[in-house]
Amino acid sequence: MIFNFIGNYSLLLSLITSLSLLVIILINIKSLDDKLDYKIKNLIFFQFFFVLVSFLSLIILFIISEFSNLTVYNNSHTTKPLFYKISGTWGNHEGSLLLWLLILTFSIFLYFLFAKKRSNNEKFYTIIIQQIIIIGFSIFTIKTSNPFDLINPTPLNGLGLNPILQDPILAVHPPILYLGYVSTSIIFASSLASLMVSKVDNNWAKHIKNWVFFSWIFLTAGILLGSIWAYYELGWGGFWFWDPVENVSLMPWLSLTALIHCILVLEKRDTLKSWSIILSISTFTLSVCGTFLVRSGILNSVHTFANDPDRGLYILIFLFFLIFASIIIFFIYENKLKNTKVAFGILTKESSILMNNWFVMYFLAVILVGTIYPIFLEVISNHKISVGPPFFNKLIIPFLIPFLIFMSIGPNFNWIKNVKFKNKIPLIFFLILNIIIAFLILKNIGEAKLNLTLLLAASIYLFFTTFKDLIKKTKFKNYSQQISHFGFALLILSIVMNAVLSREITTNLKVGEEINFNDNKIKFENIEINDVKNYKKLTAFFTIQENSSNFLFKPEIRIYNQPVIITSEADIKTNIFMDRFLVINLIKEDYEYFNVRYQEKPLMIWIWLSVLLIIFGGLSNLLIKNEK
Amino acid sequence: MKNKLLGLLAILFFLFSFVIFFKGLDKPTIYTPELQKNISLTNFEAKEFFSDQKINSNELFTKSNFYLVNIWSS
Repeated sequence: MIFNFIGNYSLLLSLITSLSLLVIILINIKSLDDKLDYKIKNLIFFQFFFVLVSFLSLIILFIISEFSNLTVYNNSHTTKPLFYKISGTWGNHEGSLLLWLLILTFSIFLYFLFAKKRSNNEKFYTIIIQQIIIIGFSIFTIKTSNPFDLINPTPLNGLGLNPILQDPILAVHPPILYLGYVSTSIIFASSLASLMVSKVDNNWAKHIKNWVFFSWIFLTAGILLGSIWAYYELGWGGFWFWDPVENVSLMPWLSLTALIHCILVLEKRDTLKSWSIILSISTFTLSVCGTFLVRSGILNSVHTFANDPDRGLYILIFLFFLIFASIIIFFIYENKLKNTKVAFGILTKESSILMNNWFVMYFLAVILVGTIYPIFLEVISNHKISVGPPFFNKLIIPFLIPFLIFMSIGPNFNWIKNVKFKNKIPLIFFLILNIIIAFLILKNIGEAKLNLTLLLAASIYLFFTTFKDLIKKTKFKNYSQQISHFGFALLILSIVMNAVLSREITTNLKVGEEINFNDNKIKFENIEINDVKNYKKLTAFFTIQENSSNFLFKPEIRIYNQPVIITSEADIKTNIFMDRFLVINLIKEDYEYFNVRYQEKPLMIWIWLSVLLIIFGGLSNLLIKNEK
Repeated sequence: MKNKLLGLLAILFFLFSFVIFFKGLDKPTIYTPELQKNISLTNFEAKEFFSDQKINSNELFTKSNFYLVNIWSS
């Protein structure tokens, strides 16, 4: 009970501190000087400290199973392992909002520590904007989603955490994803502040670049973890499903990726200023938009975990307040931005970055339309539709081909000055050679379609050009970019080969039956039922005979007792060439027939490893910069 | 002038989006199939799952007291 009290009042104190901060800066707005620094620093620290205390109190409430707390009662149970009791803190709407607040306050604290060289005006304007965001989320948390609401009389036990969330990867997925999402608020606040004080220049780019990389690294890692979890836990057997909630995480990522490249141009050439500001604004507003779509209940998805239109209305109003405010600020101050006039040619680094920025914006627009179009259509015409992979594949794949080609050749261009066309003729011949290789590979598989051939050719081309760049000995080596680009090339190549070579069979089998699939013989050997601490486990034993090799698969069906939920646990055998994936589902409760799905997914491990390489590239940029 | 017009267009677009999202909050997210009336069913023959017996739709839908359940998932 005491921790409920501490947590609740710490949360209130943090709101009071935020309001005080805002008032103090606004009162001194005409004379913002170094004298304010100490006072502001203390208040920012206390604001972070209060939210931290509040968050730790909630963790303790979960650990001690304090069921007088409504959030703990709704999301925990005494039989739950300690690790999942702790991760249950952010595995629900209220706790995850407190985590949002914690990262918001932590971000501004870090910003203040590392922004000593920025002008007072820019620094304090950034703090004002960030405080408005913090106050908005604090009021939202306290008014509509207070994690310290009480329940009376105190129940003897809780309702338990959704079993599919009881997973080690999913336990760390939200904090990592949120670090990416929420830290973009600093990019948003700083870009608007620097716009207002006319300081959008290469120095600002140098300063904000760290934040852009920080957010991008965590967002990429968060998306990767979510994708791995969905692959093995939801039993769909793929790495991306174009689910609305996946899409809302991909949109800020795309915007952030475009921003990274713009910031690099701004840092080196002092141009693309407006574009950098627009991307900074869109990245954070897309993050808040994602929060609105996930938490309002406006979308139907396996991921949405809070269906409450009242909460949705609050986030909607706040989201559009941020959008309108940033549009107004942008159009008032945009004409003061002075781009250094740089006349760059068509075959230059700047052009290829700009071109690919437009492609990324196109991909973002397709995903945005595909995600929100069902909502628009339903409101306007009352028709319910769902937009799935065919829509995204048809609209994205054709444009992915020129995107990959630009990505391959762009890094080989010079800044400003056109490269001589005749110097790059070998690259064109190499591209033609790749088209022939891709055609021969696909013809051999029996999938020689034009778009697939070009996509495979472009991805092989990107793979070899980036690999060549990576191992080439040059004086000015940009390891960060080359590692990330090589990782991306590997990712696209793995995805294309995975899509082309994947095989699957879905059938109903009972114990003792077998079925032939390609060169494999799948036999359903036996089932075993055991009681585990908080669930009943049904293990099915399958043998798969492939030529002279035998594989034993043990997929499970788990029947959890609190809450009563049935989950399927896939059994996956991974090697460097492919994943063998087997999952079963109950048809009837007599355990006679089971629905069996067996998949062979080539190069799955390379999809995960390539994203790790992409992250490593970003990380090396951040760390090498800091060493300098 | 061009900037002001662009700003105005952006605000109008976002206002429209706000109204749509606002209205969308009231819409139920539970899928309810449309009621279909007076639709003649196609005859078909299929194997019964557990017994392997052949069944004809004519034998199943002799009277009007049957339900067609649309199992929908995503």
